[in-house]
Amino acid sequence: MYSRTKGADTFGVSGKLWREALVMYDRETDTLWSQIDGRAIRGDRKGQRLEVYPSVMMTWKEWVKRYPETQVLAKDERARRMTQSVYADYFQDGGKIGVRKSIPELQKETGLASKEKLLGLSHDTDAIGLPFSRLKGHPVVHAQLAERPIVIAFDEAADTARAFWAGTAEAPRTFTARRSDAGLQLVSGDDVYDALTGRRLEGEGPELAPLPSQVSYWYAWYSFFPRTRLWSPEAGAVKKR
Amino acid sequence: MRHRRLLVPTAALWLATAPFAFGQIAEDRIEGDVIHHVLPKDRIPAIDEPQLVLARDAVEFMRDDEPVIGVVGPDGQARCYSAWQLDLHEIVNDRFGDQPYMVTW
Repeated sequence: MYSRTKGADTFGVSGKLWREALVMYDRETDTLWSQIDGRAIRGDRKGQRLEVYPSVMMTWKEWVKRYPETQVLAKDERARRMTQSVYADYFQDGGKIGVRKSIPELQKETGLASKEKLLGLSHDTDAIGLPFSRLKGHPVVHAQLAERPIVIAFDEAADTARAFWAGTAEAPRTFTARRSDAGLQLVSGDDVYDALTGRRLEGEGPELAPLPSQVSYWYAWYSFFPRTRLWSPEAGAVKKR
Repeated sequence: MRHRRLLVPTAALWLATAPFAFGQIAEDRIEGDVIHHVLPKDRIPAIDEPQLVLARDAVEFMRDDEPVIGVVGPDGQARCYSAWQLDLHEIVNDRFGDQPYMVTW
């Protein structure tokens, strides 16, 4: 999810894949842009980068519970008939990855299954990845990104995760997780927040600022951010080598 | 012994470059990684003029377990896009007032 420059600039699907991910083009200059890191990789705008607009993935049921006034993209007849992803077979086949058959070397290095989902975070030159399999049983995680404290909420029921800035290096905030009928919540002192949107539900504290993040397959994230620090419950997010 | 040491890398180099020498494969690379030309441009049509409906009108076509990408605008307006539907389009060019953004999938 990206901001576009103000004006008439729109983007289309180039039909190309690079590093196992979608390549977009802008209709004004035909420059090619990679989806994962929002970078112009070929054309007049090469070197420019799109600004990430914070977004979150969850099920419709969880989303509409939080935002009953939400707007929804209207569906045409074909979309209305869909009851699953057109790529459902692909998602369920652990052996197929993008256009490659397998990536055994990377798998050996990370110890992750091929279709494992990960919450990817990047800021300045730092990047962290939190694999969903390792987050199980850890609804709230504290970590550092670019030397600033962050908090990550993992909602197993909604099968999604979100990250927020957690105060400053001098005054970090700590949170505990609380499950309620309204979904997972983050609690810090008297302040209670929705863990997936950062909205304050109780207390007087500041709203939580979401970090630009992506839920993607770990290999896609990894191929764009090879210096990603992978998080584990035992070691936190450690530097690579 | 000396010959063997020389032969192995030479053969490897030949094998690696042979397909190009014979013009069989034209690999297009960016920053060392192959860019695969899979489909014609716009074969997957991006959505340029998204039609939005209210949640109460979406109930008939949204399913509880359907994954959505959710976003909140500068004025607090929430908006969501079905990931199943995005499989067919990959990109939605949308805006909150004068702030354009795009959803990519």
